[in-house]
Amino acid sequence: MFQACTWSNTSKKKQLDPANLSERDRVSIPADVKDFSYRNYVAYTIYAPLYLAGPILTFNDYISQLKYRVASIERPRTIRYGIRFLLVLLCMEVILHYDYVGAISKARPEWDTYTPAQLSLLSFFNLHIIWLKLLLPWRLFRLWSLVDGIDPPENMVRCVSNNFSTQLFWRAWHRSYNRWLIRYIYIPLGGSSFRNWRQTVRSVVTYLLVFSFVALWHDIQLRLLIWGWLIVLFMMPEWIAAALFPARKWEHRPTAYRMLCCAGSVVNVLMMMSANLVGFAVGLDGLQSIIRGIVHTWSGT
Amino acid sequence: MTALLIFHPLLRKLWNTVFPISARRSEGRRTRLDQRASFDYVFAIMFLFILHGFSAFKILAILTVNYQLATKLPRKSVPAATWLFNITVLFANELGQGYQFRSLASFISPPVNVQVEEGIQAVDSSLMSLGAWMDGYRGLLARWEVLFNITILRLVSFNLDYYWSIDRRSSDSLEVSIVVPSLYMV
Repeated sequence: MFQACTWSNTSKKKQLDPANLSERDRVSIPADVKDFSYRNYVAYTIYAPLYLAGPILTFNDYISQLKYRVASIERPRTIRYGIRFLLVLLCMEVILHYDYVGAISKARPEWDTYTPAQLSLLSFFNLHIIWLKLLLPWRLFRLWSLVDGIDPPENMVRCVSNNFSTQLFWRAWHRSYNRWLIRYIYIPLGGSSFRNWRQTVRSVVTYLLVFSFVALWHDIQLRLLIWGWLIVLFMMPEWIAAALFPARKWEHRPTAYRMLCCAGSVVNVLMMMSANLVGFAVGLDGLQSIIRGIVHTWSGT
Repeated sequence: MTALLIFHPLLRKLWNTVFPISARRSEGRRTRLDQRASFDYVFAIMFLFILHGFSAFKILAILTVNYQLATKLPRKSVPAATWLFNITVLFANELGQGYQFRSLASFISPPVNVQVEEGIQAVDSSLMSLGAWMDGYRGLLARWEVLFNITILRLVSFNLDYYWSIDRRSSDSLEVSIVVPSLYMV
């Protein structure tokens, strides 16, 4: 019986149909040694649809998709994707026409003249525009690649307004890059675990390394490094809160737990707004004056 | 860009009719992989030269060095060499501002001093003027180094996937020989 068990186990491994793999298997099952040729290497690194901005495909996934067309490449799906792209483009036009927060922050206004609520909304809508600005080229290039018969990962899998957890936010924002970071940096460094103090410290260092790389990769600028470290700092309340209020213990009081999560998510959204503003919109000076503005207005009234 | 979105897949259709997949298992048979990869390869080279002009040579040089690192070094040092090389390129591209051919040439043959009416003046050497001429043809996207960050990620992906592919193969055969006896013992 045990023999049968092992046999079925190995055959199960063998039964993976190379023509019909899931995305996960396409990434993790290595290509054959002979596939790592210079021609395939250049074809992969300079694959035209994804060369300029991604989404990032791993080499194994690319080779697997060259061998067999993936099941998800279907004409109706690609057409729907194209229509969705046009709708998002229209959305961007409408937003830029009626919601010109980008122009406001570019004009470097006197931040003191804004109320805290106005400033927060300004940051929040600025984030929307950054989100759309990144979403559009990624979707265009993915569409090109889909038309060409290669299915790369979708980069933005979540609406920017639908984020209450910092950790989930980073999983859904530039997703193919997130997968890349996890596969090539985070896992080789040992991942994360919060079982005891030593492991917690090591995990925080791992996160710091990952986000430092992310910042340097975007552009070699101090404000981006600070942005990366702020992200890690801002993830900590979530980890601490998750450790203090484990979901198991609140099973019998779901409403109270939901309220706790609501409070946490408000804090998360505020922190995320400020971190991204430092990195990509107003810089550290801008953030300082905004915070000063908020505090000043509160103490003044 | 939208024109490319239509033009590129059509060109592939044409390629596929000229070079069909051969069904016979004879010598030099062409698989779907070969067909697609050779199109991607040819298109990639054309695309690079149209986008970046003479700067395409710099990109191909970086690609080649990275490829040699993955395939020629002893297996143990591949990850360290990959990270070191790619992070260095990340910084060097930023600091070197895409390596102008004129300034590269000035390292080999520096400007020469020429006697003119008012005195001595530094004039570009002939190699430097060739470099300046090459800098004049930088294609549609002159600042290739700005877009290169995303390609760096693919370079790392290739090298580490290659590194792990060797790892996996040797451990796979190990796994079978270890797992089976332990199950018998149970």
